[in-house]
Amino acid sequence: MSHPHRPPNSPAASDHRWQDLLFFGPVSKKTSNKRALTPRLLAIFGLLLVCINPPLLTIFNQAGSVWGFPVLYLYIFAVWMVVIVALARVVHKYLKTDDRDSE
Amino acid sequence: MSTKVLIVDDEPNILMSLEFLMKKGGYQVFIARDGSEAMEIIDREEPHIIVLDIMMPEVDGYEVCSYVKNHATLHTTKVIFLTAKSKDSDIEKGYALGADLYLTKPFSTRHLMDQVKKLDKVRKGEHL
Amino acid sequence: MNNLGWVIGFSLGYLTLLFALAWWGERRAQRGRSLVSNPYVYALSLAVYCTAWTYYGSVGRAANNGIEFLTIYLGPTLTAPLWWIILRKAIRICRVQRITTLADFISARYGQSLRLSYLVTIVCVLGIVPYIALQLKAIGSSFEILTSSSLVAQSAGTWYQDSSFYITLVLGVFIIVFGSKPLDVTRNHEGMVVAVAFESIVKLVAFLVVGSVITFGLFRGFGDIFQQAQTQPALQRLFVMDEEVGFSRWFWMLMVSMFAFLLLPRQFQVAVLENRKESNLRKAIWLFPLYLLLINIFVLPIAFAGRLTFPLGNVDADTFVLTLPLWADREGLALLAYLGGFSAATSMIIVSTIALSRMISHNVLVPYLVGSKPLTQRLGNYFGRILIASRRVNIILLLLLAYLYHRFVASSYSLVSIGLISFAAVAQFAPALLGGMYWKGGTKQGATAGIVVGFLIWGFTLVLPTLVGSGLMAERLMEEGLWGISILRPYQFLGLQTMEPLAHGVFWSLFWNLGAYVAVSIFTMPSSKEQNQAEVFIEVFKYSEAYDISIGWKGRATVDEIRRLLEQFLGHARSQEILAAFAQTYQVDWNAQTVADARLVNYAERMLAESMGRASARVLLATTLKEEEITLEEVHNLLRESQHLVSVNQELRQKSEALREASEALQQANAELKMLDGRKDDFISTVTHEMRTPLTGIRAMSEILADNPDLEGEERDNFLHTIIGETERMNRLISQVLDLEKMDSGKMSLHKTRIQLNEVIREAVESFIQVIKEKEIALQVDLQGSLPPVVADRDRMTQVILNLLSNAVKFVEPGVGKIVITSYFIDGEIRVRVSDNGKGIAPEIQSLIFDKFYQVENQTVRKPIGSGLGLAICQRILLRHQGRIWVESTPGEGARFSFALPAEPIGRPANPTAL
Repeated sequence: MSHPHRPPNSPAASDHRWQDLLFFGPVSKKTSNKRALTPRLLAIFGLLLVCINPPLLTIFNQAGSVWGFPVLYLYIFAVWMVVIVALARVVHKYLKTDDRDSE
Repeated sequence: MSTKVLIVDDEPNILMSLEFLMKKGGYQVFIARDGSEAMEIIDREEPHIIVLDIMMPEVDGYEVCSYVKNHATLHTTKVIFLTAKSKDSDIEKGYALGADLYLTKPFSTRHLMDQVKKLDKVRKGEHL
Repeated sequence: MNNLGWVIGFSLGYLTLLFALAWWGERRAQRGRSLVSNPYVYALSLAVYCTAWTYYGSVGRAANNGIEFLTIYLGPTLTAPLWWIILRKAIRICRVQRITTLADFISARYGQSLRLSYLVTIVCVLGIVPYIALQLKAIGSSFEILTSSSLVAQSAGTWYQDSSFYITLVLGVFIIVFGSKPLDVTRNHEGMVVAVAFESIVKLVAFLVVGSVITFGLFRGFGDIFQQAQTQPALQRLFVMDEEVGFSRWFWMLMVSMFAFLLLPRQFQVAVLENRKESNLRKAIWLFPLYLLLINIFVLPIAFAGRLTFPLGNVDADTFVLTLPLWADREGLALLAYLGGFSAATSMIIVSTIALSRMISHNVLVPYLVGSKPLTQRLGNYFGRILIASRRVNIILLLLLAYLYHRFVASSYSLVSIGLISFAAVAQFAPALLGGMYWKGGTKQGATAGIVVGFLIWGFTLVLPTLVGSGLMAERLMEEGLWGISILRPYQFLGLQTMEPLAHGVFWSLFWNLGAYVAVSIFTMPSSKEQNQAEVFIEVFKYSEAYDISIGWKGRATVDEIRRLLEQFLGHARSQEILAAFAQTYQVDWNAQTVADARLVNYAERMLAESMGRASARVLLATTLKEEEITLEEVHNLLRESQHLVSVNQELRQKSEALREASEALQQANAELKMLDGRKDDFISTVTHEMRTPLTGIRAMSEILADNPDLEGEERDNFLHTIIGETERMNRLISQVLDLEKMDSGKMSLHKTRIQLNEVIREAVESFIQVIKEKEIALQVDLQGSLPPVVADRDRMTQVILNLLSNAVKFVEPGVGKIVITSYFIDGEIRVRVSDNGKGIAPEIQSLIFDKFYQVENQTVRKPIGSGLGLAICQRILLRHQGRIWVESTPGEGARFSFALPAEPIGRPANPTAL
């Protein structure tokens, strides 16, 4: 009973509430895995934001081509692909399918 | 031809006592110290009565009993279990295997000899 | 080229297929086998983001502006990592609050503000209609190109000659049939989502096929196209960005497409409102960016291929996807390209019009209708029909509006410009919506001010110039500014001259929007209702468990009133269903309860919201029931109370879990005890058995002696001696049992001193020499010379060695038996081994012989005479000396018993202890 605010309520009212509680089913348990997910996602967001904006982008803003592809074009697609792989890995590692769903 | 009695036990003292008693009762006595030795003697001598301990190394008394009861030529051989195993389940098992009598140790020598005599008569009566 | 029949046939066939798919999806959902809960369907439905604008317009933009078009897709990719944080929260809020539209979402957050919900709807309609027009334009011009003989789109004649007019009509009918459903179904559009997911596959496949045929068929791969492009200065320019203007555009386009992905009504519809499972985000987070990447791979190659193929510039770059295959006389490919574009356009039109028509009905029309009590009472019974009819009319009106826009405004603009203006319009919701999800301080007035200001600046800086461009406004405005004021020039607002038009418009509108939102919010006080909603929105993960029992309503109403209301708007059957479900969930007896409590009112409101939208439901209840203002304090207390109950419940759950664990542990302990008890029984029965054996002998022999007084001397003596021997055996047995019990109960005291084990061995062997001689057994003693001392109880060590020796003696045959006793020092311990050449011990018993009288159930095999307690005692003695004992044996060849004791470290003084 660690809740700091315990409103004064009559016993009858609280009995009434007890029945309500049956409706909610198991309370979801947040795993430590899930908590580790958010900072990782934010990190990917930050990294992508930096990589596809100036000034980092200006480095690759050159007329030449690599393997027949324009440098900038190749760079952006490479970053894109890396982000997709990173997202897939992070999400599947830290997010199991068992989290609580509705409906 | 006198009745052949086989005594099977791994305790020398009991063998000694039983041998004395059977000889005194006029039976021809054979002795085995374990189950496999007993089976050899059974094949060779075809004893009429077998006094059988249960707890013996390797081949136990139950096995000897069913060996006798399933033997082709030993229909009339009587088996008496003489054992320290005294639980109801043990006794039931003994009779289920076809034993004619189940006696628990320690035993009364007179009672044992009376029973052997009685079984011998039954056996001979059938035989006649 | 006359493909008219083919193109019309394919288009109608495709629409029919879509219709069938939607119907099938709906049927499956009704049978509980929802396809929409599938994560792949969800991820694909998100790709409604890729419209005809992507399909045709990206190529057009790439052909003129280089890789800038990628920002439209990098923006959503950039949001992907945040979906788990933002989208999931929005999904949860919508589910908990039964929100049905984007306007619902914003107005619900700011205390069910009706004015806000009107405002959002208006902005959406004004922002999105041009976008729909864009799709119509794309379908229309692609249709024209495919069916005419020229590669250049002809401007359509009068409206009845315009193919896009007919397409609009067909689409309208189609959307009405499967997009606006009867009231009593849920807020989800299963069929629509399935169809959209399918369209996403079609457009991706079509674009990839067309792209690869152009790249590898008409040209010789990527390298070839890029190499050729590099030789032309006009194209080489597109390889890089202009550092001055390009980067600022790049950044602002990224921003605006980020917001657009989250805030476009159609995206909000598929990503949030149609989401069935939050965990579907798990796959979508990476699948959707992958989709975007794939659909963009060929954009630049096609753009260059088009520019290289049509160097004169007379072919619109927006049509390269179609005109390139036609130019190469690949009509099948052109038809596929058309179909892809058609699917991209239709999916956008379908979802957008459905989302917008709901918004208009739920957030404008119905609140207005139910806002007046007499009107409500009069219309009540026809309400369902009115709602459906209004949605249908909305769809037609929206499409007509879009068509008109397309006819009179859009034709002079390229696809991408119109799309970006739409993006910028919905981006105006970002401060109010995202701010509302994370900042409790945001108020209704702030949100309204932000959206209004942002919207006005958007109109002024981005829309006005398009009207000027279409000739609907005077050119002078652009040059001299509004009313001739130079700081009110649309492209140089407030004198900002360095930014290019789009970045300029997005920047200023968002700047003033955010500024107004924050500033007004700070200076206004939220109403209690707003504070309530802010709490529920922002802490949705905390309260979503408790929301049902939290109360945002205070007033007086009867159950009958609620029942009447539900029947009026949802029909008799549905309202019965709802009340029954409520009664079952909350264990309520309707006969006993006459006063509707807040829970019931809340529940009814949410059920009404599902079919008419949240704002409408709110208005309806407010006008029908007597409501009192609820204070913030009350709201907080109620929420806390419910949350507290949930946490108590959680605690209870944890406690019962702990209890279950404890009872499991107890059960296990009980089983262990039972086993120990069983073993104790075994022990006792074995001991009695071991006692009975000598007892049997004693009794039998005593009876013989008694019955045969005439027994001769030698025989008599023999029996008497045996009787004495047997009593001794019994005595030994008894003292062994006592010894063992003493050790097991820990009462055995050891007198440890520093001793030489070799000495102990020699003494023990000496005392045994008589027995060995009698039995004619060979004994070999083989001791290592200088053993370190051990700290041990000398008498107990003697006992161990004697036990092992007598054990060995019993195993071996007299005459041929041989016993070897060895001692040696290894690994810091001293080992003593007693081996014999007896019959050995079967492997299955080896682990049991150190147990005190092992006797398993039904076991008949008897272990070697006397080995029982002796070995058990040895083991216990060694354990008390931190040593161990073990046996190795091959049956038939003998056994080797060994024990080991830790050696006393050299130089350490003996430390005799009495334990």
